[in-house]
Amino acid sequence: MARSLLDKLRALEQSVRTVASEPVMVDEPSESVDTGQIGAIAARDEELLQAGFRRMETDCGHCWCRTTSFDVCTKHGERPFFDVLNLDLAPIAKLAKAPVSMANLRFYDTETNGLGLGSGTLPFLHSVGYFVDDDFCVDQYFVDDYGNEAAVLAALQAGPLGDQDAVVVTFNGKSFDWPLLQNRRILHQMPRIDRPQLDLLHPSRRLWKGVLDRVSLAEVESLLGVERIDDLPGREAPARYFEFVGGASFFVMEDVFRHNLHDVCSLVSVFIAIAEALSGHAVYVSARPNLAIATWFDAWHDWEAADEAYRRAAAADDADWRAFWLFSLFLKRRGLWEEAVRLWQEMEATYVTQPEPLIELAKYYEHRTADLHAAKQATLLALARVRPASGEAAAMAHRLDRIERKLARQIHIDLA
Amino acid sequence: MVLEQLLEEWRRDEAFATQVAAWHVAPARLGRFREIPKELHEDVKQALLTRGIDRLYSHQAECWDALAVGRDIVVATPTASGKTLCYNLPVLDQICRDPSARALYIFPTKALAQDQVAELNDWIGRLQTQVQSFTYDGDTPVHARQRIREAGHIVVTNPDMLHAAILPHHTKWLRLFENLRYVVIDEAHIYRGVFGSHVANVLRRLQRICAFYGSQPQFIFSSATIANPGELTTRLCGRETTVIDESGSPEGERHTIVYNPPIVHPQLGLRASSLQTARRLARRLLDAEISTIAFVKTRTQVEVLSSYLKADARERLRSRIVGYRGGYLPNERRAIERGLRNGDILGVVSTNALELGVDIGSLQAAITVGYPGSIASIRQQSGRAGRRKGVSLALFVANASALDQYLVRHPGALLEGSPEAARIYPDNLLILMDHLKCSAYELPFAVHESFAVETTAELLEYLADARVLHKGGDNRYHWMADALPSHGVSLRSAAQENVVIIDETDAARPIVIGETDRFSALTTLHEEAIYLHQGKSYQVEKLDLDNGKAYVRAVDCDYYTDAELAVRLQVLDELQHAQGVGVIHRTGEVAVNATPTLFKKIKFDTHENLGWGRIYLPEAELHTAGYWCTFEERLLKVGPDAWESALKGFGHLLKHAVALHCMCSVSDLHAAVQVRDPLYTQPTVYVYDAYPGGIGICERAFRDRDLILQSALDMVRGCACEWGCPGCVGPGNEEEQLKQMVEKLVARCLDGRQLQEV
Repeated sequence: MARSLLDKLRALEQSVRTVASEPVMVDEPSESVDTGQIGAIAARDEELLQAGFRRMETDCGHCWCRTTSFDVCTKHGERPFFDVLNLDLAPIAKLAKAPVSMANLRFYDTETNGLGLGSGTLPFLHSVGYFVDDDFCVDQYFVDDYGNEAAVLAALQAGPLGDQDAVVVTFNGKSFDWPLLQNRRILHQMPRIDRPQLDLLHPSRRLWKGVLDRVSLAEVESLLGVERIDDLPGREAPARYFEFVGGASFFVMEDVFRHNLHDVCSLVSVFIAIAEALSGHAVYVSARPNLAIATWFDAWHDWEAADEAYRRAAAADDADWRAFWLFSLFLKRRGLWEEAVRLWQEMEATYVTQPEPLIELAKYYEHRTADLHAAKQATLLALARVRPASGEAAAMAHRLDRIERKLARQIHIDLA
Repeated sequence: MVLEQLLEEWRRDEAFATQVAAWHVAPARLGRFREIPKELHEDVKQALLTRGIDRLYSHQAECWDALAVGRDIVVATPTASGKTLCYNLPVLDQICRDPSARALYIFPTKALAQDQVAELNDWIGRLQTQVQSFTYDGDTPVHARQRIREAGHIVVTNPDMLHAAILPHHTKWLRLFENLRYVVIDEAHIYRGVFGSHVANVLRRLQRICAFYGSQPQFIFSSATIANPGELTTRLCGRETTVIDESGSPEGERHTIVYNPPIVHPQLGLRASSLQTARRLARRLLDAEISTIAFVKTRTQVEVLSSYLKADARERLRSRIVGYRGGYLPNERRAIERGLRNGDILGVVSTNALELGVDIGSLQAAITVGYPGSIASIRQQSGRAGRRKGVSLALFVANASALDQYLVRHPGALLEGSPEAARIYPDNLLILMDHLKCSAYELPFAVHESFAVETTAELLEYLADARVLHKGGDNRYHWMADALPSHGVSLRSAAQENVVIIDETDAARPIVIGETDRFSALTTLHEEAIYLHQGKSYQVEKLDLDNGKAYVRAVDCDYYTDAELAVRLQVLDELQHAQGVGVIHRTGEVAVNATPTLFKKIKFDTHENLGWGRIYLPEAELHTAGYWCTFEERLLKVGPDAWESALKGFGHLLKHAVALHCMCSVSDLHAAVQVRDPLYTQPTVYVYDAYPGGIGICERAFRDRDLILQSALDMVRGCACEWGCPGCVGPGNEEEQLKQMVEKLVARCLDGRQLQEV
């Protein structure tokens, strides 16, 4: 009656329904396993060669890479790649906190067998786009067998990511693709590689958050006139890969490669859009992107550019409280008092529940023009706009107290 | 009045003395000390001096010595004997010597971790060396995590976090795993049964990852007194551990009293309620301003007893008596713990929430109301009273249950008998497979690599066939699904898919009040069932088995429900058997198919049947391990109905006796009976583990059946009832001479014991 371990396991798993579907049984291995395997490997290699891959030898074995080149005149969306040539890269360098030139840009994206950054998440495709001569090239390194991953990592380091000065441009790569690459290197006991990062997700969020429902690469590229035709949804990529390693033809992977290639090209489009926004070449009508640009320049102490962008933000049809408020603080920092005061007065009248403009006015009257009566007036109005007994109210009461004391002294002096 | 005087008074009081089943006095014991090790880092030596420690207890020094020669250790000395220093000393010493060294502290719950971190931080504050210790649990803010991974010398966490958050992301913990010197596992006795079996597998995964990074940490376990600390911890970490269980700390005189409430109704043999008795005794202690803790079984009892004690106490003492239980807010609990430590609080009534090592200092008296389910647990509870100097009292108040009354008649088990052994069964196939998957996700498996069991290669092959793993060209098995396997595995149950019980009384804010395995859900959570939770009644509105959810609503009703289960039990594999006279004992694997059929509504107190209803649920299947006895039909000259009652009674008794012996809960076992078994054509009683794959309980029950059946015989013989009552042979049987029939069956099992095993 004794049952085999596997019978027992099958019955047991069946009884607790742990396996969602029936285990898929692969065909029984043929008798001549060795020759069969060698045959299969040869067939696989032949197939990849046919699909345009080249075999690369590394210290860690071999792997496969396919390079796709685009003439720089090729348009992706509304813009040709060569627009990168005409960009002012100085602000981009500030974002990346590293020197940036056409030659050291590396547009990087991966496809993985799952989400999350656990050690079982495998990026099976690493793609790097770069400019060389008159071409935009994308190298797609393929982990065609789990056993070839070390070679892919070695080839990446020896190839497009090897340059110490390379600036890695990604979309959400700072918290996903790049740490994932480090994970994989640790798993293969290779040292980390550190390169300056330019993650386009964060500037995209600043520029387009209010405009788009969610700031994803697909959403941003659609703003830029990029269309996807017959695109494979990214979430289906793992299933295709499992099919492939399970023995299916490379054909099942072509959609994944196309999807990924498209992503890398879109990185360039988004890169151009952001660089242009930062160099003042792009003109946005709505407040949000202008405000985003303004705060960047503000942080980089480029006052002139910041001034211009703040003004555009405040003049936009959809200018809101935040646009006016940040602009007014900028004016104050720059010592443009007259304009700042005018803005606060307007804001105070428009936003009748907000105490902030009144507080700023009170400070201005008290400390800059010593108009104590006006300062008192503004403080009283502000006090009416905050919750009694709140911290804000206490601070205002304190201010009021001080103004009263000063007033009393003034009267005293006047009398004397 | 001091405790000595009160004890003297009780000793002379005849009414008290007649109820005492046992009164044991352990004399005071002097401490045994050893020098502080010469080689201890100067910085740590200074820290000891600032705490006024100029020598160690002998067991602390023994730990030091064993670790110094590279052993893995378990320290199993009583509560409050200075166990934490046994691990803090070597860990801090190591970090002072080598700032790159790392240690991992694992506590079973978050609350315990917090306590120990406070203690640890006190030590760290006394060092010149900069030592960073951090708690890493579900509450750790995301922005702090990066720093903990990089800079934490000592990372304090729990097994669930280790399993789901640390191990699957080990590459981010590079520094920890490369430099891991010590793994400290406190309260190791908690890791038994299913939970322990999971944790053993988590530790296998941990060690596999350490090996990958080239570290081989030493394990330091600390445990309450159990019978087998060495065996348990050896199975937990897969390496032989050195046991240090001779405490060198001084102990004051200690009284242990087993008290049986007086009989109030001699005809019926009814005893006074244990709660009221505890109330009376606690009142005397509190009146005398003796610091006292009382342990009760349920949260409701906490509320009831603490309000009694407050009402009974003198005005000025009232605010110094409190309740403590799960469900209180953390701040509230911390405040109570502080109050107990500094003496502001005089009396506390608690569930077993305070049984674990939460630091509340030492009290003078501990009362346990009703047997808490294991000897180790009762030892932990009485350990709450006990000081290095002066007298202390541990008082056990029995209730009317057969188990409690058995213990009253055999107080030896409570007093000096060895505490139970904690068992784990890490090779349960399902548990093992779950962790094999997790481990493969963490690091690919080489073809000939072993994961604790010889059959690893076969199991890997199985997972590859099921397309969970993929064998790459490098001849290693790689994880291939796009999910994180640890997400599907809960350490606290064996079957992955439990049924969660959701209280929808407040429709806007449904809350989860409990969880149960699918098999039990059939009889306890079918629609219209009354589900009892913490003394409150809930009616089940909907059971959604597909999604593992049961929706309940609080109701006010005077009945409970009892479902009937049509059970089809099939023996899959008989592994061993033993022939007795008129009875055969067997053990092996069984498949149980169960379909709930109907349920009865039974009135509380009177137990009259108020009606019944049908249950419409699909059949459930459980593959597990069992122990079963087949009797010759001529043993009882009665009809099939009486036979069935007798077998049921036997099953009920056996379950309780097995639970007592194997240190598990009664609900870890199920029983089934066949008057005419399809396989053996004779009356048969089966007990089986309530977890898929089995967790070793019944296997052990078969081995130790003589001891277990002997306790069963004592339980049924010792019960005061005449024909059998719910206390001894279980509810629902109305058969004359039932008790006598069951007794006969048990006795028969024992008679055959001298016969040989086949």
